[in-house]
Amino acid sequence: MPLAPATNVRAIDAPADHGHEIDVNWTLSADDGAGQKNVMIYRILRTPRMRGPVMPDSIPPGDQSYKLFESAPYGNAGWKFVEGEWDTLGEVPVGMSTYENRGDRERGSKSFIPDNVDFRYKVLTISSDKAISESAVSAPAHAVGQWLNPGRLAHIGIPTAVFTILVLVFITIAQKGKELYVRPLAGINAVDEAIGRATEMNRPILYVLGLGAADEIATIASLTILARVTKKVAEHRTELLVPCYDAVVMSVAQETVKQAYLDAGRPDEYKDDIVYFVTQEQFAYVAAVNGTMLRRKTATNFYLGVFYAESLILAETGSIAGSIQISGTDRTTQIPFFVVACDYTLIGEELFAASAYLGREPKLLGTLKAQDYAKAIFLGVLIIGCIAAAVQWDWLTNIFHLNFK
Amino acid sequence: MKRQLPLAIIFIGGVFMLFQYFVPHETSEFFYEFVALDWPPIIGVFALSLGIISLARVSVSRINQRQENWQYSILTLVGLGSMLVFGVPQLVLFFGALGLGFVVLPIVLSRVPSVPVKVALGLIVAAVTLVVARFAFSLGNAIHNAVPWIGGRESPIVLWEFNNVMVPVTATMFAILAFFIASAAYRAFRARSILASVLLIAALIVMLRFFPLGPFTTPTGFAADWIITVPNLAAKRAIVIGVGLGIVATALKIVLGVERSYLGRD
Repeated sequence: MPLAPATNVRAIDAPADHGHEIDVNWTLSADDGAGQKNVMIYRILRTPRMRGPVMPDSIPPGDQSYKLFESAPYGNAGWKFVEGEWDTLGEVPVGMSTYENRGDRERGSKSFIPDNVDFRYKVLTISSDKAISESAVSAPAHAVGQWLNPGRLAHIGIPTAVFTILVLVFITIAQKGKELYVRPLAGINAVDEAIGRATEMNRPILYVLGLGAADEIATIASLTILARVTKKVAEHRTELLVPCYDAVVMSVAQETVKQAYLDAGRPDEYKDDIVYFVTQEQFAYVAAVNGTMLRRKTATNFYLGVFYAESLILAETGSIAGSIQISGTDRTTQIPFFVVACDYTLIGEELFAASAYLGREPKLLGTLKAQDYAKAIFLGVLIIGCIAAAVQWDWLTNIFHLNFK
Repeated sequence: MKRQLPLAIIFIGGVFMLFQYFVPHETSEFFYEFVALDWPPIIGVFALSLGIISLARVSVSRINQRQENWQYSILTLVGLGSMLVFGVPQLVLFFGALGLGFVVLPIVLSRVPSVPVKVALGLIVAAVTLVVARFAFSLGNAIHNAVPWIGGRESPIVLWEFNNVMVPVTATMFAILAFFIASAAYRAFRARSILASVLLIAALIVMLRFFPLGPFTTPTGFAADWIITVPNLAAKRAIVIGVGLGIVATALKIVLGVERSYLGRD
């Protein structure tokens, strides 16, 4: 009995991608698992064979088998396409009936797959005794990039749009002068007390922006809080220290602090040494900040932003130094350390809400209210999801399955 | 204008990045990589030089003012200087020449009253500075070629400093974490209230799962797994959902220009 081949080989452009990708699928060989032959692997082949890349100026003039891909910005390259010759793409184990031909988009890369060029595929079924059977060749398919990812749009775009509408609605309500209640946060209420304590003790305030880069939202949230805190610090004429881990964050923080001193009407109090760069080495930074805490005996320490293993070392040292400490991070692994070692901790989203709480501006409070309503919606969806899973309403639970790139 | 321009840039950038997420096409990817992946390192390199200047200035200031433990600042400057000189002499000479040019330029300009002469002299000094800086860079390369242990990643001085100072010191700092965990755990697990007692019991069960306890090993392991995968995970996910919404809200506030505190007066 000859080895039964894979059948019904189909090649289709991969959905919701940037191009350069073709999906191949087939019907398993009749000997896969159930037949007399022991199928081991499927080998996937593609034609025309691509030879290259070659430098464009080395392409023989008039040779039609070459295609030149010179669309910027990824560089130019020439490729020779040989009809009838097959490229071996890869192998998949027994039982699998799909292969994702993921190509590189770089024109000069060995695994480059051009868009809008027809390729045909075939699948070799190989058994344990090295017998090979060949499938029929698939219909031609070509890769093309899409301009919309419907999966992302449905699962992320629509909820984001709903949330954005909520935010805009509550901002409008707040702007009309309606009083919005937001629950008090102990950590925020303690900021004034902490600054006042430092002023009374005539000791500096330490503000640590964390180890995050300037493009992390937690760092940006921390910078907005820094602006509010600095304004109060400047009004109290208390010393502020902002040691930075990231040079870009330092540059932004310098401008933020300078502007806050200006807003407080004390531009003369601002010094370039308030915000300074330490190092971009995690534990060297910790050593420097700990040294500052112990030498300068800071009255108040703020740790707001992105933190990793250094969170507990910083917070414990501050605790030993007798400082009042307010912390906040979005890293769930570090929150317990801060909760244990600090006086007040902004947990997760509270870090992002802190600036609005400190500013008490209606527009910002409106966004907080929108967040609360969005959480209520999430809670409702979670409860419905739990009930649906418990009573096996698959049609409902399937709606929430995230299956997109 | 000083406020409007940054807000406009933030709005355009934010909206672009939002739409880019839903557009998989390679044109969109190209702009994403150009804006989000290529620019930050370039800005970072220039910012790092500002950082080094900031560190040097703060250290010098501490030494001048004889602040407490000012001697450490000397060590900082020595470490920084030796790493720069023995690591990248080309860049030290290049930026040194540029810096000198920036010092000379205002002195020269301040002595000339006529504006056209000022412009001409300024251009000449700038051109000379660039030529000298380029020459200084080549000099640094020549030094590295003549004395291979100066400059480059393989410089034995840089490697010695890194392996014998940097690595043990940072490892020591990390190791201190173990003791801090013990002291923090002691404070957290004191059973002063019902909630603290619950925390203590939960922590004991989770810790005990690593010990062989004979017939109690299986139930302890089961209880510990339940604590980790049910109440602990539920709380973590609740925080993560809140963080996600907070991130979107903060991004919206900044993109829409609602949150402007970091730019100064509203």
